[in-house]
Amino acid sequence: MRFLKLIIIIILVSFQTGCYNKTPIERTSVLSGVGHDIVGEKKLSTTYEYLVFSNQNKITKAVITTTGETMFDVFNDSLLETKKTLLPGTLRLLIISEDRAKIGIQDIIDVFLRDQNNNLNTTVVICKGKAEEILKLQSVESTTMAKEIEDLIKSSYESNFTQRDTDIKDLFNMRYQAGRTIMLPYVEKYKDTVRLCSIAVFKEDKMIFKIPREDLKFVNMLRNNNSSGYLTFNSGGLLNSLSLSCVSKRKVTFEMQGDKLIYNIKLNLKTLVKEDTLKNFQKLDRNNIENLRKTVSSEEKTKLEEIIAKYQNNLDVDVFDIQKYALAKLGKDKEEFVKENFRNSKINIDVDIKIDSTGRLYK
Amino acid sequence: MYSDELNSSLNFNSTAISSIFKHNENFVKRDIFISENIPCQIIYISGIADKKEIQEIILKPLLNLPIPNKDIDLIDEVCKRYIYASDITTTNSIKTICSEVLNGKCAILIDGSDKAILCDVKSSNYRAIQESTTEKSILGSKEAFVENIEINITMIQRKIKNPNLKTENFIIGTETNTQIAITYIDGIIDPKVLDKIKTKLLNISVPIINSSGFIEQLLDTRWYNIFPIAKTTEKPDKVALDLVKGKAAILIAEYPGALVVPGTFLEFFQGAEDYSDKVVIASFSRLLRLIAIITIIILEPIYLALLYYNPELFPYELISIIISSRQNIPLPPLLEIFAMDLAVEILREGGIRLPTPIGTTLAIVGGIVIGESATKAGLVSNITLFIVAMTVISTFLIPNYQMTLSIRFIRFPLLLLAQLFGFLGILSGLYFFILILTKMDNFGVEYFSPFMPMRLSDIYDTIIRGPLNKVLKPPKSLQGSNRTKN
Repeated sequence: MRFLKLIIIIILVSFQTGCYNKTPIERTSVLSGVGHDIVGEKKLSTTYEYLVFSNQNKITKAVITTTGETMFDVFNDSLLETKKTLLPGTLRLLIISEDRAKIGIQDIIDVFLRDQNNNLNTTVVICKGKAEEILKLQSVESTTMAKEIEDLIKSSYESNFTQRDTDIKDLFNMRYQAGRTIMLPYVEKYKDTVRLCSIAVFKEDKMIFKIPREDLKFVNMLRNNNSSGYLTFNSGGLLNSLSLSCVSKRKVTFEMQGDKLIYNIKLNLKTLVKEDTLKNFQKLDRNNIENLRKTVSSEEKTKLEEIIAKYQNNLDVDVFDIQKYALAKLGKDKEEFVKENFRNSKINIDVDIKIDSTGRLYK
Repeated sequence: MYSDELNSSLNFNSTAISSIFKHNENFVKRDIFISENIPCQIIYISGIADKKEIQEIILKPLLNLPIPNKDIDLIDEVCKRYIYASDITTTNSIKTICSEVLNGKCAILIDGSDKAILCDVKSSNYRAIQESTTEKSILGSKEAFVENIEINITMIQRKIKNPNLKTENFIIGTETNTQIAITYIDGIIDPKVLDKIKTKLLNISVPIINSSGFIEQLLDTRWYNIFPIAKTTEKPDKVALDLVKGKAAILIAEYPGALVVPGTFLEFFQGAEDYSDKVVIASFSRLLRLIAIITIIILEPIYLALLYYNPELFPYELISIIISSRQNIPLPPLLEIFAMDLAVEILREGGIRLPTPIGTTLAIVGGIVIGESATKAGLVSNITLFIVAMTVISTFLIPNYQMTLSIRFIRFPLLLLAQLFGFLGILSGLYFFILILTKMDNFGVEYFSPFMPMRLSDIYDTIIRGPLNKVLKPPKSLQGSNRTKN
């Protein structure tokens, strides 16, 4: 009897779940990318890129763009055009135009935060120009542009010390964790495809500027732990360089001296010599390598100090993601204090480059 | 009506027994005179008893040798001096005479004596010991049980040379009087468990016992139970291993197999070769079987739930392939899966009934032809066909046929639950089956042991196979609990 009661309870509970509100896979459109733009001053525009299955084994893509005053006005309009149910859970890419990002992306973050049907592994990027134009491009290496841009972002961590993940979960963390700044990859249309060219920096939920390409590597190095890339030391002129493949480990400590906030960033770079046309290793001995290590460490430190000065003093924005360490020590209630005193704080940088291997070519 | 006891009149005794075998064409009565014209009758069933043996060990000495002293007990004298049979007993019960004669013995009735002599002259016209066709062994012993219960018991005794190996006989089947023997090793088997097995055997009252399947069902009072409670095997070496681990084997006359009781859920997934292989290799095989079981039970329901309720959970690259393959398929996924499952079951059932080479050919060719034509006709998608094929192939990894049937059955209710409630349905279904398994009790032994209740010492012989010195000890799980439900 107890068993029977249990079965009845399970069945009743099951009927309360709403699982019967189902959409079979044949009646769904696989949403691949969503692009957000702004039209004029008060109109939002959203572009949906989705897969079209015409005949067996033939998959193409389609793009629709609708406009409205709110995100769901736009969505309502899009439903008038789509023939099948859009499946938000399959979304690979969220691309936001620079203009749209500058007016704020809080509505987009909120939609993703509330709706459990949305995919939290969706890659987020900011783009130059219109997102619609990028999504309408014909992909060369994949079926959709969304997949192609996702692949671009996912493979980018191999160079320039780029952060590994830039998906919705990371966006939530950057937005809501105390002492953090939203920084997202910035792509631009390049020939018939797109390329990664910068990082968009936000204040709260609004984009304020993008990091120039020449600073990108150094900002990333200061900002990201366990990143990798290449460092080149050039003594001027062609064919006069030393290139190192590096894996960077960052360690940040924070201390207060009176009212002064002091951040200590220690970078440990394990390197392999990839190319040497400066002829540093004509004499391969411990002293020679040690001298070179000291030289490149010092050179790198100088460059990074210049970058720190530029972003700390001129722009007063924590692009190095270090304020969270101060808040961890001082408490969340000191967020305003830490932000206000960022320009006056002292950021020490220590660079330790270790040359693990000079490669198989010895002179 | 005659009384059950013999009296001193041969005529009376002969008529009483003959009336019982009135319409039995094989019933033979042979009248002779022994000593100084004392009437005597030899009774046997032709075909069951060996005629040549009767001639050699009963008729020849009785007819040729004079019995010297009249005053002696004739039955005792004949037993001790004249009959050459090695197994000889006396009885005065007509019922016993009838049942023993049917078991292949020969009864000797002598006028003036109220007892009969029973000699074992059972015909040895049985199939020779051969290799098992259903349980092929690569490393183990090749011999398999035959229809002769004595030979079967002997095969076990040859493997376990232990005076504590006990065999007890029962007669079950009110119409067939089938001999059932239960063997166990005294001192290893839990007496409580043994008592429960014996009590249940004695309580069986059916007209006929034909195979181990009859006994297994009659030992289980829960008609709705889909899981096997005992292992059926054709191999004496497997029986010996189980007896050493503290189980009992039930042997049935005229049936070439043994029923090993009590069974626990996990051991149905363990092959006999597991114990011959190295620890890592055997553990790998067992893990492979575990994956196969999970595949059989949940692959199709999960596929269905993903198609209907959560397509976004498919990886992006896979969803494109699935949707492409499902374009223009007229059947909904559930019917598609059911149709393919039905086709496979029909092929399998057809294959079993046909001779082995034809059956195998039918299964392979039929599978390829039906699968190919169904996908070409656009009735079934390639992915569905792959999922069903994976499920079917996985069933071949379960070593026990009865458990294969049970596991195959589970996926059908789960498919319906997946169709109705998606993942919630699958989880509820699995929860329900695990609940049944954990609540089941088999002759006082928990069916889901050693996981429920948890017995860490027995874990070595479950999903993995530990070192032999730890595995071959009688498991604690087989020590019966106080539960008395079954």
